[in-house]
Amino acid sequence: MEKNSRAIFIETLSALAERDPGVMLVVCDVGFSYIEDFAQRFPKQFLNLGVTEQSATGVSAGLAYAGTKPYLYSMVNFILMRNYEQVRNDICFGNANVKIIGVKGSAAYKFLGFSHNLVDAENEEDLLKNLPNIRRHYPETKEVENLIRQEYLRSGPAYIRL
Amino acid sequence: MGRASKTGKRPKTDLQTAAEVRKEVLTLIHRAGTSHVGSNFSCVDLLGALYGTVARKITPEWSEDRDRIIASKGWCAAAVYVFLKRKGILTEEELETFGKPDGLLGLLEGTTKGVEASTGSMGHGLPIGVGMALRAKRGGKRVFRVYVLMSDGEMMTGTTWESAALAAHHKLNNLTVLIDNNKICATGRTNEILKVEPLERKWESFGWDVKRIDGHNLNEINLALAKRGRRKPLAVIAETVKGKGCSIFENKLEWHYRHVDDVTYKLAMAELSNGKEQSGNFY
Repeated sequence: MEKNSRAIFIETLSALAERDPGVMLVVCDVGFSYIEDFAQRFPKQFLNLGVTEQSATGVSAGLAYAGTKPYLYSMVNFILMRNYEQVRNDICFGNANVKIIGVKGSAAYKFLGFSHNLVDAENEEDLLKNLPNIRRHYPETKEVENLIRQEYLRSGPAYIRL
Repeated sequence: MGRASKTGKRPKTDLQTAAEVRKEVLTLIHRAGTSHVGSNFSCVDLLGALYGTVARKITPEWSEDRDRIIASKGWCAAAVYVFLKRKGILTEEELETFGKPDGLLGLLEGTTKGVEASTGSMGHGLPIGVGMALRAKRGGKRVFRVYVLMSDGEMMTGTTWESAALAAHHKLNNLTVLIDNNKICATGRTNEILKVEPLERKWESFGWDVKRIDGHNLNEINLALAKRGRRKPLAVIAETVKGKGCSIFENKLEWHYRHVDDVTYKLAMAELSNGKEQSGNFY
C-alpha cells in the first residue's frame, strides 16, 4: 500500500531531525501509531504537551523565538480553531518559525461529527488568509516530502494540511 | 524577536530610585495622553529588581543566552520602556515616540527592541515563557532563566493553569513567575469579579515552589528571586498596591483608564519628588 501523507511527513521530519537537533515535533495527545518511532529515536526533540492546544501554541512560539524549529501537529479543529488567537498573535504576528501541521479529518473521522471535522463550506484558508506572515499549503500526498523540506529551509510560520 | 541595537549605549550604573522611575513613567503616560498609570506603578519595583540586578545579560548586545523577561501584563509597556532605556536598549529619542503615530505602543509588541513577546491579550506570556524555558533546557549554550511578570487578572485565564501544569511536568526550574497582585482588575476588585485566591495553594498544587512577598520591598523581591529550586519552577506572589507611590493613584480603579491631566500630573510629580522613601535603588 502507498504511504499516506502523515507517514511521509513523519519520515521526512525524522530525516531532518537526525541532522538538525533544533527540529522538534510537538503534539497535543494525538498521533497514535505515527509518532512513536520519532519519539523513541529523538526524545529530546519530541514534546507531547497533552490536551493544552492554546498553551501548546504559545509554547511552540516561545520555543521558536529562542531558536528551536517546532512542528506543531494536531487535528485541524484543535490546531487552528481551539487556539485561534494564539495562532494569530504568537505565531503569525510574532512571525515565529513554527510549522503548524493540521491533520485533516478523513473518512475515518466522519463518524465523530463536526467536532473533529470541517463541515460544509468550512476551510482553513478562510481562517488564515488575513493573518500576516503565515504561508499556507494543501499538498497532494506526492508533494508532502518536498514541501516539508522547502518549509524547513524557510524561517517563518507555515500551515501545512496533511 | 525585538533585537537590541549593537551600538547602543552601555547600561547606566548610577543609583536610581523607584520614585525617579515612576516620574519618568508618569511623564511618558501624561505626554502621550494614555492610561494604565495604576498598572504601571504597581510593578515598578518588580521590574526594577528584574532589570536592575536579577536578570542576566540584558544588554544592547542581546545575546542568545540572555535571561528572558516577559511582561505578560503588556499594558505596563511604559514602565518596561523606561527600564529598556536605562539598560541602553532603547534610546531617549525612541522613548519620546511613545503614543505618537508609528511610535512605541501602549501595549508591548515583540517587534519593539528589547521586547521578547507581544502581550496584552491576557494569558499569552506564560505559555511563551514555558517554550523559552524548554528551549534553554534542551538546547543552546547556557541554561538561561525566564521571568514572566503576570497580573492577578491573568490568574483567571485557562492558559495560565495549562502552562503551570506544563512547567511543573517538565521540571522547569529555570522559570519564574512574578504575580503583580495589585488586586484590581479592569472593572473592579479582582476577587469580587472572580476569586483567584488562594494563590499559594493553587500554584503549590500544580507543582511549583511558591513565595508570597511584599512587592514593594526590594530586599524581599531580590531574596525571593534568588531562590533556585532544583526541580520546580518558582511562583512569587508579590503583594502590590495599584498606583503605588502616589496617593492620588493608589488603590483606585479609575487609574486603570484615566489619562493624567496637567493638574494631576503636577501634583503627582511633586508628591513623587518630595514623598516618602520608596523601595530603593535598583542598580
